[in-house]
Amino acid sequence: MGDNAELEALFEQVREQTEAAGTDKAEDSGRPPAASGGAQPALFQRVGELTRILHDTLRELGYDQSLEKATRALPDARDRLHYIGGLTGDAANRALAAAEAAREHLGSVRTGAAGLATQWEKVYAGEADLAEFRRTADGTRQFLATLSPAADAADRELTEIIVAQGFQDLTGQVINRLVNLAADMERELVGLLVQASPGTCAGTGAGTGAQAASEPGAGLDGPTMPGDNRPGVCRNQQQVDELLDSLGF
Amino acid sequence: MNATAMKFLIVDDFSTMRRIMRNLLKELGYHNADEAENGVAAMQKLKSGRFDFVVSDVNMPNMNGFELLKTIRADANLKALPVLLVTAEAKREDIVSAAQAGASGYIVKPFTKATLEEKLNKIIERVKG
Repeated sequence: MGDNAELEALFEQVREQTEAAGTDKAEDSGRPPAASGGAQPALFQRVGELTRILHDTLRELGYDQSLEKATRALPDARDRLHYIGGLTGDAANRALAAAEAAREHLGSVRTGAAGLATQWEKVYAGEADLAEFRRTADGTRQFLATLSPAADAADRELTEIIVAQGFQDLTGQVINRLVNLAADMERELVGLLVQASPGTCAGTGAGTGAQAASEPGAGLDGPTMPGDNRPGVCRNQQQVDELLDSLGF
Repeated sequence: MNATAMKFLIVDDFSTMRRIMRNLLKELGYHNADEAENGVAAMQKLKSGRFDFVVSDVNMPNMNGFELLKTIRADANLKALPVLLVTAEAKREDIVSAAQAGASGYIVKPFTKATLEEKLNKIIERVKG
């Protein structure tokens, strides 16, 4: 409960400072404060009392720990959102680069075919001599030899585009975890609101902090994010292979 | 058996990943593949038809990949079936328990076509040998 002691000390310190400031202000003025100014010390006092009530209530109900846990989960959620942003960006760049490369392969095929089509039109129109006919035939033969490698190259780029879509699976898993986190936080906050609101059905409806203690995304860990340096987590396929090899699998 | 005639079962709750895997397998010469969205659906298909290879995700609802693997290894008719796990789970303990439960291979997402090809070849060679 070290955190609670610190919070209490901080609370007392702020309260004392607030009270002192209110007193100094009243003394410095040398005259009775105006109606609005005179209300401030009382207001601060009231806010302090409410804060104390809220703090004690949170602690009694166990919400201080569940809220603290939710707060701890936020940086993790932020990292996961960064990861999603990075993955979707990478996937888009991979897909675009592959599409541009495939377009180049298809462009050279198109140019070659168009040139040969013009030459063959001349041949069939009787406008080509024997030498030109031979050049056209040779050119066609050479062009045909380039088609299969060009198709293979375009196919590789299409595969790259297909594989790049794997981001949807990984981001989907991360998004599901974030949705669970948001649901947990919502449950905590609604429970807190119900408990702390005067004259409402305190203690009913939303679960207590203890009831809503499930960790966001409990169970499997989901995708490993870059920079994930937790012990016992393999960061790439090579590390997985080395681990399995070391165990004789 | 001719490796390219092998029948694969792709198990993943994300349809996108099933499509990607089907395309990659086709690219590698394996044209015969069926799909299931979780371990329960996979077991139904495995029991009703003949399959030569299972490529499965791990993190799935109903029955996850680890449970599917254990169920397959516990089934007298299916226990020898090669099972390649393709997953985002990269925790050391997950990988070790997968290997101990009898996984034939383990690929971490995101992966490349080359990685998939290497693992498939290794497993198929092992099965043949």
